[in-house]
Amino acid sequence: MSQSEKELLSRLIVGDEIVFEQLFTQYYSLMFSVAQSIAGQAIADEVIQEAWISAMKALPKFEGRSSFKSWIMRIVANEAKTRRRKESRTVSLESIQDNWASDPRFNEKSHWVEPSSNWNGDTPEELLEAQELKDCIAKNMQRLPDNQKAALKMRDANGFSMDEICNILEVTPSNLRVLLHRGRDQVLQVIDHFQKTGEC
Amino acid sequence: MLPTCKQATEQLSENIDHNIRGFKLFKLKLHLMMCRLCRRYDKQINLSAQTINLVEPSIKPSDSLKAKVLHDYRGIHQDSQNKHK
Repeated sequence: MSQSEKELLSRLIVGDEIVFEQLFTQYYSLMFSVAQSIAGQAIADEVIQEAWISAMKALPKFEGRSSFKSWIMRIVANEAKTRRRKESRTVSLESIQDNWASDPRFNEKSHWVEPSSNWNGDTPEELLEAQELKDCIAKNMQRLPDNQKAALKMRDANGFSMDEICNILEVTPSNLRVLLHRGRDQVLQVIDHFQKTGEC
Repeated sequence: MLPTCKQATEQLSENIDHNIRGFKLFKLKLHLMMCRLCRRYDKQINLSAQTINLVEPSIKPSDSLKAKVLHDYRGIHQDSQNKHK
């Protein structure tokens, strides 16, 4: 745990509401994705509320073996799993509807027939000079299946380790690889479409 | 047997998270040497993963949720102070 994180948490323990609001707002989006992917969108906010209650009660005992972010994501995941059991909601990888098996970019021998084009831009910053593309990627990421979205946010946007994500989302390493690949590939296709047509 | 292009795309994404090794890596490299489309895909899937970091769509909490959670936080803090008195 870093010194600045220790400082923040000690202020949280003494009841600093500004720090609390700051952390709540900062982690909300990721907590929502985790809660949504496990328990569903309808009760995600309730799960988050319960998770913060549990976390604040347990905070004085937090030993800092992991980062606060990782710790609170595990709490929200556990809360979501408890709620899922109560609501008897089942989620499985197989429930994801997509056309991966019959991807039209590949022929029957699984070789390219519709490869991506050459892109203008070699860095993310160059690619995202077009604000429309940025908005388009954000919009399309919101449409991804919940568990793909959560996996991508945790891994590519927040740098969680593969092990941490497997524990939090309760998926096997091979399932996580599938989720990440499909999510990234969707983003690649969105960028490619924009590069070809200039449209979202 | 060498991976197909579709299998290569999956392995290239896997390679972002942990380095593929051994014979599997050898076969993937051999495929990439022969396939410029998969070499392009390799570059683009890495670029896509980095781009996600910059465009992560951020959802904002509703004011009512914020108020509820803040209320809970005040209550927990109050309880803990009362216990210490």
